[in-house]
Amino acid sequence: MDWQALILSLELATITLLVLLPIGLWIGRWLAYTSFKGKALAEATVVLPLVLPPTVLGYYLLVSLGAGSPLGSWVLDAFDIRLTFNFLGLLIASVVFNVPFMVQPIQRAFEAIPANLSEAAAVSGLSGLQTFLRVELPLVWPGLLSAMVLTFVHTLGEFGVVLMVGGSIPGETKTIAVSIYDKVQAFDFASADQMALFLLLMSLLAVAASFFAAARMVKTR
Amino acid sequence: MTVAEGKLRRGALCVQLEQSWPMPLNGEFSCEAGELLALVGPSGTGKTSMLRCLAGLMTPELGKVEVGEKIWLDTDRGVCLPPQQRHVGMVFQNYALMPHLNALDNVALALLHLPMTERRERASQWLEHVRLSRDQFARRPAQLSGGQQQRVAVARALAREPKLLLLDEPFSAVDQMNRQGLYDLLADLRRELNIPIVLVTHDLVEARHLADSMVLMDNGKVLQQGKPEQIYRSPRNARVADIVGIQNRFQGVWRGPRNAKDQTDNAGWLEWADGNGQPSGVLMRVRDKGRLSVGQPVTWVIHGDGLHLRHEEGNDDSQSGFGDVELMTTVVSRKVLGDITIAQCKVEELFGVSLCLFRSGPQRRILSDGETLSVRVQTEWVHVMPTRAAQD
Amino acid sequence: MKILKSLVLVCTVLFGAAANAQSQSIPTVAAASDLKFAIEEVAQEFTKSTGQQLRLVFGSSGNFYSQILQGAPFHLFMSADESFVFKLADAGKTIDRGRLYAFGRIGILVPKGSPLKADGSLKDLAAALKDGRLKRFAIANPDHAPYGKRAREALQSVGIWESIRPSLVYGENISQAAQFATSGSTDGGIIAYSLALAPQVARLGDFALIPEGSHERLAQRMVLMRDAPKAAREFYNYLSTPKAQAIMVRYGFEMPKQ
Repeated sequence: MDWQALILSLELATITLLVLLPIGLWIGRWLAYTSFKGKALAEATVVLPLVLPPTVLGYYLLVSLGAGSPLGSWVLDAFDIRLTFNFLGLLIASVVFNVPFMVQPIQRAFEAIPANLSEAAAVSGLSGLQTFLRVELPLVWPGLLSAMVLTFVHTLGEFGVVLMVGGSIPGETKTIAVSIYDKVQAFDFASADQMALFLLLMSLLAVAASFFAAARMVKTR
Repeated sequence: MTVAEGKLRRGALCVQLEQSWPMPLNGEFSCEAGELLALVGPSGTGKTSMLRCLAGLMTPELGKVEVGEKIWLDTDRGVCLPPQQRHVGMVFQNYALMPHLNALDNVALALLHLPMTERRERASQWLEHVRLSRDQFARRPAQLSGGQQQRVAVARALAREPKLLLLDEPFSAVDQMNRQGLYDLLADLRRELNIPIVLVTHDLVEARHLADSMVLMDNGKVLQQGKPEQIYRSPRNARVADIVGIQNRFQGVWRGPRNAKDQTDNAGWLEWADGNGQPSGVLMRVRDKGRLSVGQPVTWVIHGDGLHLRHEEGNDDSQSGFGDVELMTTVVSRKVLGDITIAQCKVEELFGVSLCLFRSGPQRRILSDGETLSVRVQTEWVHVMPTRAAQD
Repeated sequence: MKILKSLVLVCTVLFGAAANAQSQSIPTVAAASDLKFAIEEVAQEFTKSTGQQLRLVFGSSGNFYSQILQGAPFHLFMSADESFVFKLADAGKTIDRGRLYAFGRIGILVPKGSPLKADGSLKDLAAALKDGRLKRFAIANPDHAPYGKRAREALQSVGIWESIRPSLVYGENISQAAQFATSGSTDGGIIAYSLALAPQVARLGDFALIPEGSHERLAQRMVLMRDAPKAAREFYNYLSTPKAQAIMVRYGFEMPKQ
């Protein structure tokens, strides 16, 4: 078991979750509640990372954020910060790649709230924030949980993008999935077995948690 | 018309709206405190939108909403209070109860301005007030019947002691059996609350039963406001007659007053047109409202109360000063709807004209197929409207 | 909600910056995959004697070349050939033109139970092609792995390159090629001598060296990058010490004449 890689993966998954949660909540709620002319396009953009091959995403990230790119070199010169081949680069890639996993379950959860509930809340004197905390959140928390769990586990297992954008630098960008790949090449099958099993169990737990959450959704109709 | 103009009492509701997009809304009406106003019309004619404008859930292009002396909406002055600031209570279609809260907490949700302990106390008082039994308090909406959910919704709407109560087809999802109890509840609340109550319904029977005043809407437009009997007796035009379901609607030609006595009595002569629209020669002396010109084609209606059967007469003393018309009719078809029998009676002298008679109770027996009946048309019940080419 | 979002973003950037700063202090070595076992041992010895930690990343030389061009933060590049080093030097990424540190060898590996024989002259391989014994054969990707390129040259030298091509399986680097060759899903492959000598690999099959004359010499060159910290330079120098070189020789590398 490559503990350094495991800890790195857990860090990456946790921080991705923290960054993406407010973004996902905001976008998911917005998409659920509003309709506007380009909505289909916006939804397609959200889903895009799901169908995009990881290497395509990795390629574009590399090309747009790497030290050779206009953005990348500017950031490097101005702040001495790199956007690729380090944890920050992985984080950016991870956040982009997990958007559909976070936004979709949340959007579905908000869509499932009958429209007149927030109206009833408004008429009963609740402010926007109170409505969100007392009416919406208690009804969407299963979707939220599902989104969080899926995002976390998906990040743990991310491989293609991580390899392209991160290289395989131990302690920096060598996540557990990359480590498994590396161990196999190093003929260390014992370690590879351990880590693969760990990821398998995590994935199973995630799916179970997701189903549990779905069952707990309060029937609103 | 505003409260300030003195025509309405304190606490009344005055509404004036105008909008063309995204959907047409047009008209004005008012409702006194302690009065129940029924907003009726076919589905999709903007009744719910009207209600939403009153609640603050929708803002019309142009409009004014005043409750009591408070201005809730005035597009001219840029005033538009959000629902939270309006002190309005609303009972939604399908109740809109929070599924994750029990009955008590649902009502308590409207009382967040109170401390926690007081909230629950007040909430249970209101639930008792709407006659929900104590053992239902801890139940979630999914575990309550339609009627019980409706009571919780009413309690929630009233908990904040609103200045205006709105009900959007509140009984449409409740079965017949439970409706009576809710009607009684509403009647009691009306007496004690002394606020204007606006009820949206497409059920005319319900509207006639509950309302002090009725507002008819069609295609977003307010067509007529008045007491229910008023509207049924004197619908403003053919469309209104359609909406409230007046069956006895006929065509005619206005002949105007004939002599001095007609002038003093405010009467005029109406010639009944037959099924082909041709003048039939059957003339009736009816009320003249002074709005018609001689020879003008008109549409006219007569309330069922103005059609008497010879068989039933005897002690009847409703001889009107207008001069009535007697017609021989034959029952050609019958519909039995529960306690009421509706019969189409073909008129002998008029080609293609039938009168629609309603009877309930033992008198129904008269209306048997093929039966010949003599009908006295009490012409003071006749209401004449100008015929317009298009829908009014 | 918006405030929360920007707060998290700011924290992330700061975190990233901090992580960046930290990463710059530990020397990172990008080493060709054939050096996997050898350099791990050398690095261990280095850390033991100097107390300095190293970060080792293994992969194909061509891949590292691209990554370095894109700004990957490696400090020392140990390539399996010389051309990549020269190209980087020409691009101005390095402090000098580096140093030749070893000569490598390739050989054929056949896993246990394979129908092939460990014949370094590749005559058996040619025969296996003809009589249909050969289904799949692994080499490293010739486009960016030097060991793959040499394998191609060796196969070309015995004239079987075109005929074996349809049966080839390409490893992303020489380690992966070795993994394919021993996995049992191929009949064998051409891998690095240094990998074949590692016990984990050796016990999985039989190995035979391919004569050096059948391909261009595997001249392995390393170079320090512009912003390399002092510790990286120390390791660079350590690699020429007798102790380090002894380890390399044990893994089948030939040391260049001083």
